[in-house]
Amino acid sequence: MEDEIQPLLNPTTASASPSVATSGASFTALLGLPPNRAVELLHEPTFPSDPALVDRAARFSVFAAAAAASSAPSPEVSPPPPPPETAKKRKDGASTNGKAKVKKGKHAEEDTDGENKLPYVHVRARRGQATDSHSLAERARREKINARMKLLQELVPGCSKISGTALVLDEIINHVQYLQRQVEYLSMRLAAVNPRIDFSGLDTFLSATTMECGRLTIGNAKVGTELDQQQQQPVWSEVGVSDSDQMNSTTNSKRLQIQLQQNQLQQFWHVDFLNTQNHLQPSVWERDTVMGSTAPHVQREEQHSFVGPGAVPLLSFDRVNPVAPPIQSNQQLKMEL
Amino acid sequence: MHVTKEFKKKTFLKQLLLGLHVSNSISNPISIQQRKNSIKLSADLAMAFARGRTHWTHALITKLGQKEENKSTLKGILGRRYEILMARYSCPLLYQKVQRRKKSVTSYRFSYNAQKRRSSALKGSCVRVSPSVVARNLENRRTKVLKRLVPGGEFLNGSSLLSEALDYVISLKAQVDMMKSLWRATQVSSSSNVELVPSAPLQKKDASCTIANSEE
Repeated sequence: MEDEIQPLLNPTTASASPSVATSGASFTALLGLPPNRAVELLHEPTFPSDPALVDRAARFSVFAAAAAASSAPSPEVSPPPPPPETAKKRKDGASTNGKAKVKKGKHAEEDTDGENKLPYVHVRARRGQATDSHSLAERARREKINARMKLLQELVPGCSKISGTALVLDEIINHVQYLQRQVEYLSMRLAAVNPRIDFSGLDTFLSATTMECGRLTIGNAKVGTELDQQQQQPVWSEVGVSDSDQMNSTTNSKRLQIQLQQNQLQQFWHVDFLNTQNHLQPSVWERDTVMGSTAPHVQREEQHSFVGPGAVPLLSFDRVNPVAPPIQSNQQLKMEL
Repeated sequence: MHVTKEFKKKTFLKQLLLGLHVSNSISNPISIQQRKNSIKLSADLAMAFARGRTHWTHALITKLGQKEENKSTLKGILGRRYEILMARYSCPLLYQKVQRRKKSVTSYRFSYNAQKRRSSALKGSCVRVSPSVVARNLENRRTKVLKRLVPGGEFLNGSSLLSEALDYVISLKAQVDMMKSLWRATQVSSSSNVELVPSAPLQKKDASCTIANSEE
């Protein structure tokens, strides 16, 4: 990320004033995704001065250039002389509280003008708040952190309702731990499968179908979250599954297969089906013991139409058992179709 | 966050499959645990390579390279690049930062204890800590935990820690999705679903059959 930010930073820092604009430019570049919002949150308002409107327009364009990183260089050329002056003026004038009132008054008119040019939310020294450089820097830092927290809240599911930093951090930590545990679990599963599957052939076909891979993973995301929350107990002992459970899970798995096929992943699946037909018989025995453990998880997922990978290997049970269950499952399949 | 995950998928898959292949060939008779570890190693390595160069990827690769048991697998995966990469990723800079951080942590703990002692002395037996202090403590505790979770996080402060955590969460999600799709590929192909496929796409099946056969 830093390597990409460098070219972003260099043209903007050259033009804008060193003290404030660099922090603003670097911050927006770091944030990346919502650059306009970041600009709005960070940007300190200018003080009213005679060429104030021009200055603010120039400043907007400077910061917009920093944020978008694609604007024309011409607006950057004109602002360099005014922003340094206004920045200095702001720093000097900020020390007095009396100016805050004046700023407020004149700010109102500039607000409308500003909003015509850019959607802009002002962050500024409110009346009665300390306005020296320390608290300004601190406020900038705090807003940086708050902006990042907002992004994290959007990323982690179920976090947007929570208010308060500590609880959100809690959720983030839980999510990270959950994802790490999922990686461990998946690697354990892949380790169990590994000896039979020849992976050399897979990469060519997988690279050919990475689009399908992407679509597939989106469909499975829901599944994985529900399935994996219950995976942590050592379940190796629970191989014995009752017949009724088996039937339920087989119906679920059939439904899953149909739905997955209906997702237009046919090419992907068919290549899959044919790839390892050679490996069917011997691998079933190994995976039976491993995957039988996931059968109980299937029962707990009533509300989800998709069923996770736990259901699929139960079909391997069918191959081991006499022919009767597969026939029944075929009938069920026809009914569902 | 600028780097889109489109690039990541292909490189990740290639790297992961390579790693799996290597772990297959290396540790055939050995226990599932070791195989799992080598798979996890290759997956993490693939994720770090696919993401590009960020702080946490650097720290992750360094951590992976330093463990003794990983070295054989790493050598198998990286091949000729092993020496070059290990030289690049064993940066002593991080250790200096560790020294500095340890001092700051101890000083904070000392001041916190002093504060608690003072407040308890004033208010009697029960410790009354002001709400801001409570909030700050909770937040600090959680920040410490987050620092431990995110690779390379111990050396970062506030906002950079959050941005690294953001990046790390995104990559973890992508990694999990990729591994799941790989898992499904192995699962579905080796189950008995072939007979359940409806007859309509049979023609496609024949076409792809030749491709699959040529691959293998």
